[in-house]
Parts: sequence; structure tokens; C-alpha cells
Amino acid sequence: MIILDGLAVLLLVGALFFFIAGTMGLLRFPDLYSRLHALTKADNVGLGLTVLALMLRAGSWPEVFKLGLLWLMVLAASATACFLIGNEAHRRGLKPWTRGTP
Amino acid sequence: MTVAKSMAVPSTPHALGRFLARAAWMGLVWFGLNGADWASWVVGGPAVLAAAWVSVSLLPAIPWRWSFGGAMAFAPYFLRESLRGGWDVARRAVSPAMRLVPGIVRYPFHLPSGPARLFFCSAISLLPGTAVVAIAPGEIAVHVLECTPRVEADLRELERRVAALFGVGRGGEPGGAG
Repeated sequence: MIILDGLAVLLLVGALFFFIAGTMGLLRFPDLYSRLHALTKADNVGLGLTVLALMLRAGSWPEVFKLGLLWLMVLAASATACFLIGNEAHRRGLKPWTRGTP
Repeated sequence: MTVAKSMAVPSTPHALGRFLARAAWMGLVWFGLNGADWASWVVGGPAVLAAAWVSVSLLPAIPWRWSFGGAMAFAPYFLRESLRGGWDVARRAVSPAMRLVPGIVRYPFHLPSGPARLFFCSAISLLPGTAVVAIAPGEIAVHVLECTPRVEADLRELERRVAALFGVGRGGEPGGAG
């Protein structure tokens, strides 16, 4: 039990790192497109690690199943939202930031 | 494209058959969510039937089949790549130098239209440093965090794996690539 708990704590610390990094990307990255990368990819890994940690602490199989399903659904929603926002920006002619342009 | 058609699974002949098959799958999901709590079926039964009905009316025929083996081969790749993608962007976000050489890359692809293409485009957003911003027939525009030859190799690899997962061909793929 103590090993599982320790592993869960490690996973949560890892998740925390990815959530913080994702937020830093959101604040620091230069344009909308790069910010989308930070939010989708880093946060998905953060959520994945959180879900794994909670699975280790889950009391029953239905709980484990629910957590797994939750992660997959958030993945699908996040990939879809990423495309919709990126596509709309692209459609409106927003140019991506490149090195050398302000 | 002809490859895709010949490999597509013939759809269930009757709407009722489809309805029952999907209701069975959704019932399994409900069972997974609630375990042996049989009283939950008071809510779950109607919900499963309603969901199966909506599913059949919105998407009458499913023109593909996921093979179990294909999914088992895709899952580890997908997990590894999304972890690599998260790590890649996290590293850039926290590093003081914040190395970014962004740009938009056009990538011609050969997956037949339908779920395989949609899945491909969604999965790109989880790959390291790539996100789809526009889909045109035969070509997608991908925003990348760092323009390197690696990006195109990654996309080709993903396309190959998605084609295998859905059991569809990539009509018109020039030989030797990938």
C-alpha cells in the first residue's frame, strides 16, 4: 500500500510539473498557435499522470474505468478545441509568430 | 481509395441489428462504470437505449473497423508520442531561452476521407510540436513549434500507423516513403 501511495505521489508531482509548464507556455509563448501547443500537449500529459495516480488510489474497478474514460474524453475534446481555435485563427489570416518579427 | 473501399467491412444489413450491436457496447460501458450495481440499470437501461438510438440515427453505418491487434499496436505508440509531445513543449516553456522556430508546414496526405482522416488530424495535435490549423482535400496545414525535417518524418509515421489502425490504404502514396 505504501509503495502504491508513494508512486501516486510521484505521479502527482510529475502532473504538477506539466500543468505548471503548460501554464508557463500559455503566458510566455509568443502567439496564439504556440500557446495552443502548450495547453493541449502539456496539460494532456498532466491530466494523464493525475488520472494514473488516482487509478492507483481507486477503491474499485468501475472507478478505474471511469478515470480512464474521462482521460480519453478530455483528450478528444482538447484535440478538437485545439483544431477549432487554430483553424479559426488561420481562416482569419493570423500569421504565426516567427523569429525576427515582433 | 479503391483499397479503402474493398477493405471496408460490409455494414450490418438491418438498422435493428446495428441498434442492438451498439446498445450492447454501450451497455458494456455502463456496466464498466457501475459494476454490479444492478439498481443503476433503472437509469442506465433507458440511457443506453436512447444513446444507441441517437448513434444509429446520426451515424447509420460505420465504414471502418478497429482491429483489436491494431489498437494494441497503436496504443503504446500513441502514449509514448503524447508523453514526448508534452515533455517537448514543457521543456520549451520552462527554459529561459525558450527555443521556438515556429512556422506553418503543408503536408500532403493520402488517407481516405472519413473517420481515419479525422482521427489522424486529432492525433497530430498530441504529437510533439505539431497542431493542425487547416484541412483541405489532400493537404493539411500544420503549425509546428520547430521547423525541422523530423516533423515530416513524424507525420508520415503517424499517417502510416493510423492507416494500419483503421485498416485503410493510403491511395497514391509514392513508393518507398515512410
